[in-house]
Amino acid sequence: MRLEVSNITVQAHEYTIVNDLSMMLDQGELVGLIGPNGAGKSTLLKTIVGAKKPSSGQVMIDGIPLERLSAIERARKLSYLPQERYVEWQLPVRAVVMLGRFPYRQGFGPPTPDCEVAVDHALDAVDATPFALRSITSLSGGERARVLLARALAVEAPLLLVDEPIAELDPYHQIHVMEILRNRANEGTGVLAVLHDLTMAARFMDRLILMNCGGVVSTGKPTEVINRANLENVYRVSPLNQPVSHKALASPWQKMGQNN
Amino acid sequence: MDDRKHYYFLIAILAFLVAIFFTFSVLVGTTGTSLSDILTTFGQNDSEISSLIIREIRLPRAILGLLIGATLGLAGATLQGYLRNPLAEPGVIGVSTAAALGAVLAIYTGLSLVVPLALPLMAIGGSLIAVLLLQTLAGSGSVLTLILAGVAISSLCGALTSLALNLSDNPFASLEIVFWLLGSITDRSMVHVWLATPFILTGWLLLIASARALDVLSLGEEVALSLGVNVKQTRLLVVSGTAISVGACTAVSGVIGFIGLVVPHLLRPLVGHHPSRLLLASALAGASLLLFADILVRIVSSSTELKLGVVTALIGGPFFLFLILRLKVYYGT
Repeated sequence: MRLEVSNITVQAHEYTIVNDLSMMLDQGELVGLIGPNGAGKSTLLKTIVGAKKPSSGQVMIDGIPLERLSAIERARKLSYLPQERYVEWQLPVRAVVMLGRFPYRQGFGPPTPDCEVAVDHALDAVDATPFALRSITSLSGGERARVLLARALAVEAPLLLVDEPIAELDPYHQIHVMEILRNRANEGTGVLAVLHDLTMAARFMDRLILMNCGGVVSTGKPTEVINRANLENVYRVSPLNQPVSHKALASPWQKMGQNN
Repeated sequence: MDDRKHYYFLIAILAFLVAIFFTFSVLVGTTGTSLSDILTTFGQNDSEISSLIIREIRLPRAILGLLIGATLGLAGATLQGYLRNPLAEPGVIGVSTAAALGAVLAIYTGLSLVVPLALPLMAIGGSLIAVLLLQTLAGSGSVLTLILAGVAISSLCGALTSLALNLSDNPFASLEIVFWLLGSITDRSMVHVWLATPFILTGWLLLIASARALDVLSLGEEVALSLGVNVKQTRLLVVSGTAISVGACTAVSGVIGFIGLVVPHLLRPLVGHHPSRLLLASALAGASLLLFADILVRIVSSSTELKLGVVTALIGGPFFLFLILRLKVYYGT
């Protein structure tokens, strides 16, 4: 399965948020979408899932334009985790994750065994099984973020779009979630993740797409994209060359109990 | 699953309550009737006074109580789920006031004296016009646009109702308007039942059709959309379902407030906060509460009958205050 975005332009009022952008995502690929605030990353994701209408251009899955798919067909192919971690009502965690199975459920009957298994897997993947029966409003921000990621995983769609999946997480769970995305990609899912942590992006992603001002500045292997010129020109920061004296520097690298 | 069993148990209890209150509603009144009277009434078509009272007065009143209470509970639960706001109720989108304005115009112009059915028909017309306005103003906008449009329609219709009262030179018409606005299901006939039922049932179907989408909407419109929910269609179902069913209720009973607000709020924790499960539970509890309030009206008042809308507002008003206090504690402000 291949996701293809061709010459998309998205406007909000008189501003152009995404400008004539083209990109591709293949099955089994883990791709990072990076760029400074306001580059148009989230808008691009929203446009791909159909939450925003482009003023020109097309989004296609396996060569079929998105608007020709039925809503349920599209939902089964594309799973989406928005940046806003929004949940109304004090729903139990398990019920929230079960909402990810919506495209596979009809009527008001109990969920099928398939759905139960998918939800169990998703809860387990994000370490949320211990609080599966608690209400989502009783969780911390990071726990809630993981539950909502599990909701997106539970769709078990061949294409997964996640917006800042590690933004609110502690270092342990940042690495943990990156590993989940890596595993999903290894199992054949095409994953597109918006990231701000460049170290994580460089370490885990197969490919990076660097956006700025609504367009793609650079795309390729992390080593090709994250270089001094791009950091200085696009991010307006300079990278660290040597340790800075009298400053504590911590770069969490792997979870305890792992020996690779 | 365990919580499913809980849910079915709750539904069974609520259905039982509705049956009890419905039976009482047929039994209680100034003329004493017994269960055997009811049985003979339905057994044969005799013209004894007690069975006449049951058939012509009590039964329509009980049926309307059931239908209206269920509608207000159902519409309230649906709107709270759709708007993702625990303070939403059918009145918030302006349908009740629009229906009331239609009815007031029927009384004001004297049309209701010439053609009695003009009142409910004009009320239903009023609510349908309100839906069209809502769809035009806020058909594709945000939830906030919908609420603002509802408030605008509501205040405009309220102002026009006041204008009618202001300009009315007939004191009897004014009094009738005021009494009608208070909300009541006294002295309604089977004609009212037959008139309102098709609209009410149609509205119910539309509201129930939106139920599954309501669950997914708890994650926001974008996620709902990405999971295959047709958000625009859901809004059309919710708005038109509410307008048609609540409009028809207002047409026969006047404005009965607070049931659509209080009932879903009370039941939400009991159904595990699932917006879709709240619909049936709220419908049953709404029916129970309205039938109960209507029985209370008959028992308590002797010389001047209390209006049903007054009683529900007396229960609902303090509850609303309590709700705000609790939310204040919850958000810590």
